[in-house]
Amino acid sequence: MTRILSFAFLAGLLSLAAACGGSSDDAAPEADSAATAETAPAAAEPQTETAPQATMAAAPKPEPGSGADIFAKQCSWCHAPGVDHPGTMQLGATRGEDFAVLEEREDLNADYVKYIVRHGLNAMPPFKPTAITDAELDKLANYLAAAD
Amino acid sequence: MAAPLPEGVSAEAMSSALDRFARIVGADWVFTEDKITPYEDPYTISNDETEHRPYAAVAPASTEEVQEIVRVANEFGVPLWPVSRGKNFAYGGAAPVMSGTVVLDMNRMNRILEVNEEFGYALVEPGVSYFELYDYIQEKGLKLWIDVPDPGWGSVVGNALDHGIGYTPYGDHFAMQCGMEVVLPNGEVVRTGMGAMPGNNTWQLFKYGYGPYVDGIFSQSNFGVVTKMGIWLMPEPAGYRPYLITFENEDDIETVTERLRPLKVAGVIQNGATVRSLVLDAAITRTKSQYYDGDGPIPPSVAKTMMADLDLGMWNFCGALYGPPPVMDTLWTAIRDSFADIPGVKFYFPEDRRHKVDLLLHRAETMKGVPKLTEFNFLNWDGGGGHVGFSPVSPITGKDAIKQYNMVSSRVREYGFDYMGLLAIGWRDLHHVTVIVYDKTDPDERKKLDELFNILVDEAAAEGYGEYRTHIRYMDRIAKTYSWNDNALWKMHETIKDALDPNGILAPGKSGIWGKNRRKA
Ligand SMILES: Cc1cc2nc3c(=O)[nH]c(=O)nc-3n(C[C@H](O)[C@H](O)[C@H](O)COP(=O)(O)OP(=O)(O)OC[C@H]3O[C@@H](n4cnc5c(N)ncnc54)[C@H](O)[C@@H]3O)c2cc1C
Repeated sequence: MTRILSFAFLAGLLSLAAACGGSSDDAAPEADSAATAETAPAAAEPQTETAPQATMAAAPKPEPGSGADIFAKQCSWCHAPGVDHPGTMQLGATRGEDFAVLEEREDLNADYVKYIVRHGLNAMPPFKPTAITDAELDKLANYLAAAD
Repeated sequence: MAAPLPEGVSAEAMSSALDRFARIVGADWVFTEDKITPYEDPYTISNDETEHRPYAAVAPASTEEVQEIVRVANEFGVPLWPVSRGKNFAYGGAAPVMSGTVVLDMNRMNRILEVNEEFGYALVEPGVSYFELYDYIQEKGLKLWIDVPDPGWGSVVGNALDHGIGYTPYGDHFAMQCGMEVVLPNGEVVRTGMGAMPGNNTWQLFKYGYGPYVDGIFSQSNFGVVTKMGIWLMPEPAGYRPYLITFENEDDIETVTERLRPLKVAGVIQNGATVRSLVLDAAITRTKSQYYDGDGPIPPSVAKTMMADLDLGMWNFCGALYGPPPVMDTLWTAIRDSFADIPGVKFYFPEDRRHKVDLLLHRAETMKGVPKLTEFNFLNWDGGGGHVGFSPVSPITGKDAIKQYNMVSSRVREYGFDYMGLLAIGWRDLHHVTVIVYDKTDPDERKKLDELFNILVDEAAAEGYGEYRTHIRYMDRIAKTYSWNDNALWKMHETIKDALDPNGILAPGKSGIWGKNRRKA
């Protein structure tokens, strides 16, 4: 305990130094343990694990109102790559890695996307026509159906 | 199955009201039949398809449209269920208590009317989500933080009105609310506090105004439709340091809670800190099948494996330090010293964590008000996708914490579910939120859950514990547990209800409050 304690405290002081330097971002640990990757294959930790904010800031901004933009604003919180996104985690665990990331899938058709958005699936609640309008849903569905 | 009409409303009256609504908001913004699915409770508990079903939804774009809708509702006796973004998942989503009620969906009223950096507040409409307010502040580069509940897609207004909680120092959302605009059930509009004074400029600065302080009666109630709300925002602190303290044994919750109380009451723990249980936290990054494929709750041996694997404890205390570095250092010393002698305790900062997807790294964002949806991962635990929250309140004492934990966890496990709970530490109380994750597609499991939930409510009440908030299905039952002096408080609510809403058109049954037209003896 003492070891962890003192290490933790020291690390805290270091992060504090970083904070003084003007960055309020949380430092991310560098590497993951191989042991976990073995015990938890479905969790697929090697995937991109940056927070959605960071992902969105780093990627080029999609054209406002486009399918990609609607996806980024409405869907990416759960469906961006990385198991810290519940949709991605669930799809990875139940359907396998090839089906985990919606934007990378080639098997989605527009009607299916529309149905799921309005009805929900599993833990995913449905989206109201005031949150994603029918016109927006068309663009979103076409975007995902065309994605490869 | 088509949704039933509300009790006492004819098909003609409903259809005339919907026509009039369409004239107010435009036909595109009235939803019926197959368009109504998104307004139903996605995590339904009832096996009776006629329960808690909305008949239609109407989506106004302004306070004036809300006023007109409310007047029409009175004319035809059509009940309305107001929601801001209607993301109240685990408590019913956008669905009403009474079937046939028309959802008044305020998603389109999503203007951020003001964000004031100097004083730290925002004035928003009901449709503004945490994501939107956060983005607005980031885009403008304002040195302000928001406080978020776990789901970032909820509404600042709706969450505060349902007494929602978050995890920064501003985590008690309704306490941070200042000034409202409310459409009353007769269509009249009022502004509360200083907002009642023409030409006044302290509406979002001083809550009480002059005379009775009424904002509270519009929360968890059906006395008005809130169309604007002020919310205080925290200035970005000079420093931020999230931490995680893990405890190995189930029984540690008693000592931990005893140690927490003086720290919280004295303000040494600054934020809406939480003590979370192992399975809840494991479920943020893993699914049950990765550890256990048997039936029922995970056995203790598996719990041990999970703890070692994920660097978690049986209990995990997530908190954060805020302020200038010397202040954080001093607070940390006091916090660390309070727990250091508990056998097996471990202290972590984000840098100490082994896994890249990790509880502390996730909570570190939430405790600084970054909206996200990661917490939905725990719904994936068992694959069934359903979730309901059981949330009794108790004092911050070791005795109450262990008693609560034993009562709830033993029942939950008896019914075959894993115990997934958290103690959210408030100013003086703790909300013991137990999330029950169930297979929403399985009628037997839903029935079992319903039975369990009723038992939990009754057993808690028998020991003097009341829920702070609930799912639409249990509103009456919980109201009945607040029965001191022959239900005097609920009788008072009914008096107010009858004065403000004589036709009982607003949210029948919300918090167990019914208009006189539908009140059961
Ligand atoms: C995985 C998960 C995690 C969660 N974590 C949290 C958490 O950390 N903290 C928390 O507080 N909740 C939590 N919740 C519960 C819930 O999802 C959130 O509280 C959410 O913010 C509520 O939805 P909303 O903000 O859209 O409110 P709404 O659904 O719009 O409103 C909630 C209720 O308030 C009333 N109401 C809303 N707007 C008005 C209005 N304008 N006038 C009058 N009455 C109104 C209505 O009765 C309505 O049903 C969680 C749920 C899930 C599934």
